Amino acid sequence: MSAARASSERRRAPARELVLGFFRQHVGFVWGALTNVITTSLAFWVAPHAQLVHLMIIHLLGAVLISTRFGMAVSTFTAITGALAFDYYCIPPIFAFALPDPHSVITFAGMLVVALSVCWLNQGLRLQRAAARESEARTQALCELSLDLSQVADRAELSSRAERHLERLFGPGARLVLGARGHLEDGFEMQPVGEPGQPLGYVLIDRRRLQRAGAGERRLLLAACADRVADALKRLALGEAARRAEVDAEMERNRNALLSAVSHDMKTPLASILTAGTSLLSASQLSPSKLGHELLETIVEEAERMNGLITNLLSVTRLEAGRAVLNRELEGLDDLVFGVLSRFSGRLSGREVTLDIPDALPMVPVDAGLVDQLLVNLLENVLRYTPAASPIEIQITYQHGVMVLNVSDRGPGVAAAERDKVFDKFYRGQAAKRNDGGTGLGLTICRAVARAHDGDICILPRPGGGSTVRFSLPCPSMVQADLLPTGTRLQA
Amino acid sequence: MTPAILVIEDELPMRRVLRTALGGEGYYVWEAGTKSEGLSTFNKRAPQAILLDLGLPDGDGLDVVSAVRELSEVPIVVISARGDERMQVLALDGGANDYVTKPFREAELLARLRAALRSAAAHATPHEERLQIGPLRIHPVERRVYVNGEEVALTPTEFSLLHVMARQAGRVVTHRQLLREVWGAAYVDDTQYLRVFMRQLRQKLEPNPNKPQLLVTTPGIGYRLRAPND
Repeated sequence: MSAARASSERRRAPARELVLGFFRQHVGFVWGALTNVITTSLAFWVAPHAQLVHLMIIHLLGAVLISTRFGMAVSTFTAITGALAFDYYCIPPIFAFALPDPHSVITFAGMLVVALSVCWLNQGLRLQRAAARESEARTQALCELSLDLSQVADRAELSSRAERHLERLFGPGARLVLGARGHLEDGFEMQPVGEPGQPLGYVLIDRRRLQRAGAGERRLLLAACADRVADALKRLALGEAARRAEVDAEMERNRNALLSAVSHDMKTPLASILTAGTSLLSASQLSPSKLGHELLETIVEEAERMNGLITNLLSVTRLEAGRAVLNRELEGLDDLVFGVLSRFSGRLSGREVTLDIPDALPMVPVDAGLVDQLLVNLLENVLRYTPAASPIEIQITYQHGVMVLNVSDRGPGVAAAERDKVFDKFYRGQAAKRNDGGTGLGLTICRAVARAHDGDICILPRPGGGSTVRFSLPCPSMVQADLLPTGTRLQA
Repeated sequence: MTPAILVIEDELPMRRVLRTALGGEGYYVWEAGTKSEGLSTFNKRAPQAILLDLGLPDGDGLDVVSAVRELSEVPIVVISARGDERMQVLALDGGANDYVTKPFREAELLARLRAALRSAAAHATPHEERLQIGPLRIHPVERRVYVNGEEVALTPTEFSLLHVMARQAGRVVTHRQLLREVWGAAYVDDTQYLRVFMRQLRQKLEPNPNKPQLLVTTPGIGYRLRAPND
């Protein structure tokens, strides 16, 4: 189809163009013929003073000269016509195509063979040189393209610069289309940029440019260009991703800095309010006024609740910002549980608390303050969401290098769909009432603490109703309490 | 004589609250807002106890602890923010007697202060003095311990541990302090020793060892032998 279009274009061109075009295309044959005319004239002129061999060399020279400049066809044409002219003008009988004696036959055949061989050798040399030039040009073009693309700052600039190079290399109409979806245009060839499976864009090239001589080379060049463009695009994408990540991190840092500054500044006045409130409360016991006493109790309780909220908020931001430096010391998990239980003893009165803790529990390297906060939050949750006087079970096991703490209750349980969500920041379960004092941060902190210790926490349904919160803590290399025979080795 | 308390705290509202609360309990209160002011007031007034906020505008509260300890054994109760266990341990190991974390209830503060004043007084008495703490009675010379009148057999290490805590009843004693006093300076980092013996002590002394009421854990810091009027 494109050939038909090309020929119709050619018909429309003016006659002068046609002649010039013919000469441009067949200039080699013209030169070959011209050379033969010159060598034959020269040979004819010197013939009276020279031997046949000398005349042959003059003809041979013409054919060799032509073969250094032109292709195989032109060289062969020149060699054969030269040989024929030699026969016609130089070999007696002159002005006749005849080979009367064996000497002339050998000279003629020798000349033809030598001319053709030289042509053939020269052809090889020429092609090699052309290939070297081509590859040098290709390397140079690719270098320029890479260099140019390495300086672009955005996709629009990359696109315009790449197109400038493509047009120079592949002629007008060469284009770069960015995006995974290219559409094939009539008469154009599409070269994907990047992985063929998920291209970053396409290079569109006029198909005619790829059908001429050296198409293989040009395809290679095209693929190489597409690779360079893909590299530049990837570099841009990486740069953008890095910049975006930096901006995100900066925002997160600012948010956390703000949160922790605000929380810290809120805690100071809150501490004064709480102490003042409790101070007044104990004074009001001396001169009791029921209303005043209740109001003071409200102030104190709400101040404590607010303090708990701020403490949790601070911990979450610290842990999530990765700024919390774990102050790990060997602690007994059971010891930490005892500590929390004795602080909660008032609020736990009326509940049956069952402990299932083995005697020889190894010590674990944990941040006691953080694990304490985890335990406090777990107990707070149980107290908040399970019926008063319902039992609580705390179990610690140690198996295969993992310490597991289970806190089980007989409360309403947590719906399967919510078991993961309840650990999200500010998520409050369906069972949570609006003003039950929860903040949606307790379990978030538990998880942050567990993960900061390379452990994890999850909620499991409990047979017979209620749920179990499981905190698991991997402790691969641990100090076994068993290694210390109780009461024997260290006695004074 | 009413004990005089030096309050070193930079927050004016908190200072006012403390003055009112302590004044209401019959203490005489000296106030200071900075580290330097606090130290000069301490030198001039010789208070019976110091309430010290660790975050001061002109320096670290820990410096105040060490500066005061060079001169006297006056009880120091440190006030610090929550989650600052490291600072609390440093202050306690540096010579502070006890700590409270902000925010605190008035009753908690007064209990700590009373315990600190009491143990300062006990410090003056010789180690041989018999001690009565809640249900516990300790006879240091005979190395005997009675719970509600019943004698309990303790190993020598268990007894030393209990005795150290009893002499500072009501106050928190850090892991390092306990290890140094009972096992010696070379053992200050071997917390697992302490834990093993603490569990044994609980088994022998607590009515319910799983819910310790006497020997209470202070996470990340140490243990406290709960005094009856805590």
